[in-house]
Amino acid sequence: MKKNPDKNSFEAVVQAAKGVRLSSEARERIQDNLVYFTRNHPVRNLALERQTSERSLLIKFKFMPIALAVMLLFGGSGVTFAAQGSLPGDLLYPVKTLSENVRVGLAFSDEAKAQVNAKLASRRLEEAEKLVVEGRLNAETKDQIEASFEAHSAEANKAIVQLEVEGNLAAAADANAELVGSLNAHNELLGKLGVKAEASGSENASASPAQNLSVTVGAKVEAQKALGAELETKVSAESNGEVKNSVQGRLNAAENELVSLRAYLETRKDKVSAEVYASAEADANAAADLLASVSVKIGAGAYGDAFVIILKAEVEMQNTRFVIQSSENFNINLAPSRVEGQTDFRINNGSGATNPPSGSNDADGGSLNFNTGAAIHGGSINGDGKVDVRAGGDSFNSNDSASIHGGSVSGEVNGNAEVQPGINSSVDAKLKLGL
Amino acid sequence: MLTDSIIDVLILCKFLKSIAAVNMNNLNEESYIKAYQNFGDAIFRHCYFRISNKANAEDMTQNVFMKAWEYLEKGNEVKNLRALLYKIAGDLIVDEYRRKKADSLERMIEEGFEPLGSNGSEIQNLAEGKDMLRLMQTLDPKYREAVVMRFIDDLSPKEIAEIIGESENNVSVRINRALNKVRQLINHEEKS
Repeated sequence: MKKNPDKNSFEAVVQAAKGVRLSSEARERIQDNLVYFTRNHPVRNLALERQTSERSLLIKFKFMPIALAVMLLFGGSGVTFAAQGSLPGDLLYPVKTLSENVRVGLAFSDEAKAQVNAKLASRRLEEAEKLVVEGRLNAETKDQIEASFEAHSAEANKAIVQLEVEGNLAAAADANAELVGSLNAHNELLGKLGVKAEASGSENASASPAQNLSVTVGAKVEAQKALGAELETKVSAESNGEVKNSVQGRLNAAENELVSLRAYLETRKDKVSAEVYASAEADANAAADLLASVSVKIGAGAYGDAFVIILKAEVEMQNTRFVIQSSENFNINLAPSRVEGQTDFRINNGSGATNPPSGSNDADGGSLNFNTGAAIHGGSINGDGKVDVRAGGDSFNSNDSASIHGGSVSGEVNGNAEVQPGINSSVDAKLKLGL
Repeated sequence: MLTDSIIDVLILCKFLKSIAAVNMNNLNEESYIKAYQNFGDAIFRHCYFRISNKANAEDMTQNVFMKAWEYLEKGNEVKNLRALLYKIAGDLIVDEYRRKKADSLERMIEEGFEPLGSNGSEIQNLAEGKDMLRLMQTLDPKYREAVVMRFIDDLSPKEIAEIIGESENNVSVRINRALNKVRQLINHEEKS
C-alpha cells in the first residue's frame, strides 16, 4: 500500500513514541520499591576510610577558631564533610553532632524518626569501636557516647512504639528488626574489641569502659528484642491491608539486596580470611533460603508470616556485611564457629516418626538425634516432632516443627548450647558454644 | 575578644549554610523520589526502545534508580542527575545485550510484541510506540542508541557525547548516518 511520501513521517513516529510511559501500576510499584530501598540500603563504612586521611590533617591545626573560619570561608561544605569521621574528643566532633541534630530535625514521620535515631545510635557504637582500638575509650568519652546512645535509642524506640500504636505494624516491625540487628552486631564487635584491648596489656586502657558500655547496649538489645517478638507476633497474625500490599514489593527489594550482597562479597573475597568468607557465603545462602520460602507463604495467603521472614532475611544480609566489615576494618572474626569438613544436608518435611541411629544425618521428619561429633553445617531440618541436639553432653530439645537454620554444633565443646529462637517455633541457630 | 566574636558569627553563618548544602545535596530521600517522578518515564522510554521488552525495561528502570541511589549514598556528589541516570541505563543495557544469547531479529520482534495489558491506558501507551519500536529493532545497537538519545530523549549531541564517553564529532556523524538509515527504511516501507 502506497502511502503519501511524507517527509515528516519519522518525526511523526518519534512524536507518537514520546507518548510511551510506565503504566500506573508499574510506576507505583517501582516507587514503592525505591522508597523501601532507600530506607533499607545498608550504609557502607566509609567513615573509617575517610577518617584516617582527614583527621591527621586536622590535628595539625593549633589555632582552632581561625583555622575553622579559614576552612569555612574557603572550603564551603568541606568542614561538615570532614567532621563525619570524627570521634569524641576530636576537634570537629561538635560539628558532627550539630549536623546530626539537623538531620534528626529533618525527620518528620515516625518512620523517619525511628530510622534516623537508630542509625545514630549505631553510629555511637561505631565511634566507641574505633576509640577502643585507639585506646581512647576512657570514662569521659564512654559517658559521652553512652549518653548519646541512650538518647537516640530511646527516641528510636519511642517512634517505633508510636508506629505500633498507629497500627503501622509493618513499619514498626521493620524498624525494630533493623535496630536490634544492628545494635546486636555492634555489641558483639565491641565485646571482642574490648577483649582484644585487655589482652594487649596496659597500653590500652579501654577494656573496662568498653565492657561497661557493652552492658548498657546489651540491656537495650534485650528490651528491643522483647518488643520485636511482640511486633512479629502481631504482624504474623495480620494478613490484610498494608502488610499484604507491601509484601511483594519488599520481597523484590530483598531479592535485589541479595544480588547486591553477593556482588559485594565477591569484591571482598581477597580482603578477608577464607574462614570469614566461607561463613559470609553461608549466611548469604541462608538468607537466600529464607527468601525462597517466602513465596510459599504468599501462595498460602500467609502475608504476615511472609513479611516476618523477609525481615529476618534482611537482618541476616545486614549481618553478613557487618561480619565482612569487622574483619576488614578491625581484623575481628564475628563469624559463628563452624565445624570443618561437614557436608550440607537437608531433611524435608516428612510425616511419622522415624528414629535414625545416632550419628546419622538423614531422616524424614520425626525425631532426629545427633550425638557427639555430629554437625549441622548450613543445613536445615524441617519436620514434625522432636529434634534433639546434643553438644558435648548437654542437650537441647526443641518443640514441634523445629528447624535449625545455618547453624553448627561441635560435639567436642562442653557447656551449654544456647539457641536463639526465631519465628513460629523455628530455631535460628547461630549456636553459641559455651566458652 | 572582638575578633573572636566576629569569627564566631562568621563561623555560625557559613556553618549553617554549609550544613544545609551537604544535606540537600545527597542523601535526601524526598528529593530522590521526586527525581524518580520526574525522570522515571523518560528512563523507561529510553530502555524500552533500546531493549524492546516492556517487562525488562520496567525492571531496568527500577535498577537504574537503585544504582543511582547507591552512587549517591557513597557520598559522591552529582551535578547532573539526569546524565547519571542515562549513564547507568546505558551500562545496564549493554549488560542486557550481552546476556541475550541469540540476537536474532525474529526473536527481538517476538519479544517486542507482547500481548498488551487489559488496562486501557497501557494499550494506548505502547501502541503509540509500535512504529518506533519496529524501526529501532532493525537498527544496530549503536545507531539505536544514537537515535533514541537524540530524538526520544532530546539530548544534544554534546550531552550524548558526555554520557556515552565519546567525542561529539563521532556522535554527530553517527546520528546523521542513523537518521539516513531510518529515512531509507521508512521510504522503503512506504513504497511497498
